[in-house]
Amino acid sequence: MSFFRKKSLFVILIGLILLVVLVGYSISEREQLSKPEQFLMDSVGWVQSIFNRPISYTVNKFQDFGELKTTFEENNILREKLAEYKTLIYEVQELEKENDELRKTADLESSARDFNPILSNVISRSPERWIEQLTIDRGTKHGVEKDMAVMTVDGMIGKIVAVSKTTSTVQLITGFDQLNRISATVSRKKGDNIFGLIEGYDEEKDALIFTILEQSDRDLKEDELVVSSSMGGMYPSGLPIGTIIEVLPDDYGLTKTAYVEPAADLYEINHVIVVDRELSKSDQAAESEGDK
Amino acid sequence: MIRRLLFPLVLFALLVGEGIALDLLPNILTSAETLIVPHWIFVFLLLIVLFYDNSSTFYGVIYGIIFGIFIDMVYVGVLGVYMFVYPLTLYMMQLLKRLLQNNFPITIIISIIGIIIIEILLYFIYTFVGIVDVAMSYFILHRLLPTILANVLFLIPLFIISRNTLIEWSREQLER
Repeated sequence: MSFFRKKSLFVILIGLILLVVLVGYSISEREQLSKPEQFLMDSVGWVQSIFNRPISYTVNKFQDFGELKTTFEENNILREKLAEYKTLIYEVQELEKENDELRKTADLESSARDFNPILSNVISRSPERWIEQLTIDRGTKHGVEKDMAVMTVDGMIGKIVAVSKTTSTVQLITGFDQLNRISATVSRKKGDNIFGLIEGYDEEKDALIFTILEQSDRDLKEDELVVSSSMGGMYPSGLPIGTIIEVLPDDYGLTKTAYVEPAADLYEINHVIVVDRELSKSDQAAESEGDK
Repeated sequence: MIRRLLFPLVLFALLVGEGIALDLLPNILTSAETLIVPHWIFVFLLLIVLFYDNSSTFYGVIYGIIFGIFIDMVYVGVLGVYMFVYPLTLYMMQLLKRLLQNNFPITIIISIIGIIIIEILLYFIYTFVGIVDVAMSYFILHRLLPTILANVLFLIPLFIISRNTLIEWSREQLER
């Protein structure tokens, strides 16, 4: 019996060492997942995408029934909006044309705003709720790469942290830490934009923390829209992140911190768009050449 | 032979299901306030430990290692956490089993103890690694309690379905 006890203690100790080694290995910045991880993610993702479609279909049907009541009112509002959009579309087309022409004359080929959208479905959400991750059904095969921004129609929701052949893992902005800051701006007329960084997520306030780097003359107001900026070099500019709900001076009184409510609903995500920056590829190529 | 394959198959189905489960719950339960973590694989392995394994076999613990690392790979991204926590807890439960009888209330109590141990171990590991930074009281109120409740609710039907089959298989396959 005492031998058995010793043996089990020994096994537990080995397990502990293994835990430390594996955690250390996987928490370090890895460019790629190991082969077995990719294989498992692909196979689990494949099964999930089979089950996911009928399940989400029925769930959505139930929700549709619930929403029938408000449909009439909503319809009226939407019709009004649609009429507005028609004129807007015309304006946008004209502006785009003008923009293109101006770009040509200025010899600019792509702007920080341009991106290729990769549409994809969410197939699962991590059951470990502290790890704010989603799995989507697009992978390297479809051109998804690590560190690409991910958004829904409403706004930015996160970035790609790991890719396998047919699936990839998205880290939500609520799970970002100090190492994954997003450069963001509050866009104003006349060029006095306010630049800052989204530095993390406040669990208790349920909002993103936006630290302002550069003070503009006028103060931040509530309800202003925060969008991503291309200054950080990772994300295209102009993806909506959220609206400001509260502005506080920081601990030292030098800068200000704003709390930003995410524009996208982070709990009910079904379809996402992976943002494939057109600009970044040429940039990265140039950078890697520079490194060599 | 087919019966031997059944455990891994069921466990794989639970692994896949854990990821989809959160979509099925109503939104109020999946918001930021309450963090319900499905430990379905652990619950099923606990039943294997309690009713299938005898004192010299470790099927539950071994499956715990394998599927623990699967969870780490697919859902967590930090390897080794579940791979360590699940088998360790299952092993403790196997030791605890010798002291207690196997009936329904005892199973519920053992599962609650198991989930508490898992969650606290996870809390310490994640805090140590720096993934989470929440107060102990917040963790207990918003994560531990809802998780225990949800998993015990999952255990009850699984217990009713699989208990007798597991005992029967244990007699057939292990006591020869």
